[in-house]
Amino acid sequence: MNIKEYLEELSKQSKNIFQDSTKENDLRNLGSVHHISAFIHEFSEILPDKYEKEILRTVSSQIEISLINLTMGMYRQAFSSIRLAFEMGLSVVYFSVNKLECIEWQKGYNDIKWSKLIDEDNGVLSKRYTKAFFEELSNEVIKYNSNAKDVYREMSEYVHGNYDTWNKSGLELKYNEVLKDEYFKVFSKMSRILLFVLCCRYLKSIDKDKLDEMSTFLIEEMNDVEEIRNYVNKGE
Amino acid sequence: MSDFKLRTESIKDDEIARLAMKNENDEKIISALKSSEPCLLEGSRGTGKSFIMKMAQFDLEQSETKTLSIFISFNISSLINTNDNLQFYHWMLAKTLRALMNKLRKNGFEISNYTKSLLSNDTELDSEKIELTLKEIVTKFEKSYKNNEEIDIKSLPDIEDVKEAIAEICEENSLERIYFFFDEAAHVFRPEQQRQFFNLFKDLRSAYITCNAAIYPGVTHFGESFEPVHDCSYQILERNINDIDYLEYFKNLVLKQADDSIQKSINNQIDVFNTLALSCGGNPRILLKTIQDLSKFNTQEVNKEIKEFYRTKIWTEHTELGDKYKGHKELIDWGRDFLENIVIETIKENEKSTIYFWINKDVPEAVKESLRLLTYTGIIRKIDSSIRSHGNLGIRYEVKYGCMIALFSNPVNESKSLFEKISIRQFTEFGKNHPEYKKIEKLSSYVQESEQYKESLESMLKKSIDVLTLTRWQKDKLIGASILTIQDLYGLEEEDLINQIYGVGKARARIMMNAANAELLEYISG
Repeated sequence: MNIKEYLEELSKQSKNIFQDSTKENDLRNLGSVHHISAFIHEFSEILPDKYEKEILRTVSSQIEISLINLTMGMYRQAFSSIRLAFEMGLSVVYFSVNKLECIEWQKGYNDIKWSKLIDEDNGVLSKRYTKAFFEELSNEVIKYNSNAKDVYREMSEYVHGNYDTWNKSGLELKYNEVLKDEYFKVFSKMSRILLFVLCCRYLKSIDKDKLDEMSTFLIEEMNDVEEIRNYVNKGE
Repeated sequence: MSDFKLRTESIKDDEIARLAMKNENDEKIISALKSSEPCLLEGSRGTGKSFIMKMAQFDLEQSETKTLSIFISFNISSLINTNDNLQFYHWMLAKTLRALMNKLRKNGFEISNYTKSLLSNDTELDSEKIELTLKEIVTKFEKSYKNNEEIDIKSLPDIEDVKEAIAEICEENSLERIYFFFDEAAHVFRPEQQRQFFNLFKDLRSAYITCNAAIYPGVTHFGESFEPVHDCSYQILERNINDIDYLEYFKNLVLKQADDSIQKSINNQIDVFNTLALSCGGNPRILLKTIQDLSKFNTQEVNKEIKEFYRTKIWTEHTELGDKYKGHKELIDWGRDFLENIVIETIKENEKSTIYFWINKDVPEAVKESLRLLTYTGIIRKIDSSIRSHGNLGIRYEVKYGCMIALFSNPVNESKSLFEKISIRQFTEFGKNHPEYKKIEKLSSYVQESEQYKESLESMLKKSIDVLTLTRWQKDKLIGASILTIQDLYGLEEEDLINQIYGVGKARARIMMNAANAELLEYISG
């Protein structure tokens, strides 16, 4: 067996995992991940700043890449991609008010620091942000900040290779239902926080027609957040 | 107290099953909502219409049969301001189809073009022409009302194109059926818009589509082409305090949301809970709200809450309706005064009567409308119509139990004896003429003063009396007396008609004035 044959074997194995991962009862979950990713891409279209637009498109593309990893049985890589999407998603909002840091990051002078993004006083999930962009969400933001830390920790366990995650995933390339379900759970928590952050930062600056176009999605996904629901429904 | 979920919108979809409570009537409604027949679900505010529709949606999604169910609420902020019925129809249709496209993508039946291009440059992937067709249809409709350009109606797709596109989607994806759930469909619309909504509701019927809608009692205009009895299954969501399982049902409903300490308090002080449960008159939102507002669950606090809520707060909500339905403000205020000061007081003084009253069917139109608005808030509930009393026909209503028990100094202690006395056969009667009715006889004086209102009011008043629902004889009599337009009739009072027209007595004068008032009421509904 040469290297090509060896990789062909792995590819075949991945194709089998793909068949197991895309059975009828999984299509809804897979569809809903794609649905969120597509919305984030649409959202990027309405941002006036070209850098913010670009980063948000990367978020969308990372989510798509996580999906293909998931269906091929590369679970760790799938978690890694959604963690990156999460970091980038929060960074868009952070950079939107810290332009200098954004340029420096693009030029490679500094890194995105998770601790800065999530800082309780000055981060993107802080009352300082809600007060500036969507004051009615101030009571909710503390809860979302804490959820963001939890879900980031969960995703990081796979990225850093905590021992427990090796136990779950093993070293072989094979279909793993537990990890697949875990991915959907983590994705659902992560995407909700991401949508909350985007709504908090941008919703009030979006013009009426664009908001109207997005209302169907937002009403379906974020309806249980009363403040967002009222804003989308009544414009107040 | 516990932080309850008072509105279905605040409940995440995955919590619906955990919080669900179903009695026999609820099961019947859910089954009607899941059937292929379209269904209208009527209920006052807070009775749980949205929740029961969500339960039906949950069942459909869990079922073996492959279906798609879509929740739609027409939000106020995007409501288009147009008098063009067709344009409005297209607006509703575009909103509905957008929601369908959203759901198709969420469930994995459609892929976004943007993200497709992210991973591949192969635009040939866009060959799913069905979704494109649907998108094209929506775009065309949206263009027709977004830009103020003249649009050739013939160039727009018609409802058959829409149904065909939906049929193809179903066949391609092996979907048995698509269910649309219109939540609080009609109440944000003006009467003419409501008629358009029911046209659409009827037009969308096909072998692949079922429409369901939640509506409020008394304030819905169906239009001539839609007959609720024939065109759909008509379900009423109400919970009668006399039902044998009523108290148990509400206890379980609250326990599902309550924390341990409230659960304990309810189980230890069941009479206190029962008083609250009866007071809400079958309205879960009110029950949860009154418990949530308690600082402590005991007799003293519950008595205080019942008095505060049912003597004051419940009326505040009703009065606030006047801000929403500005044209109805005077009727809303009159209805409150009439019920609070006359009906409830008279029932209280009548030893035999408990919570029911009866009103003659020939009362002025404005009185009927005021009562209809009270059923919308749920302060009263229409029990039945065409009930005979002393030879006259009338409508029987129930006053919310809480509004009656709140009059006692110790509601919790008195509730048992009031409840035992309740009999639907005992009611206080209000006849055709009551001095209070005079106060809202002249509806036109309440009409808004703004230019926009004035303009449409003027065109309505100029209409010939031929548009009124009167007999030919009655119309001829009016014409004979030189009453040719609604305006001519509107400037008069019943007494004037009796004096001016031979053969017109009290009954006919009331019918004629009611017909004119019905037109005006419809106008102020907007």
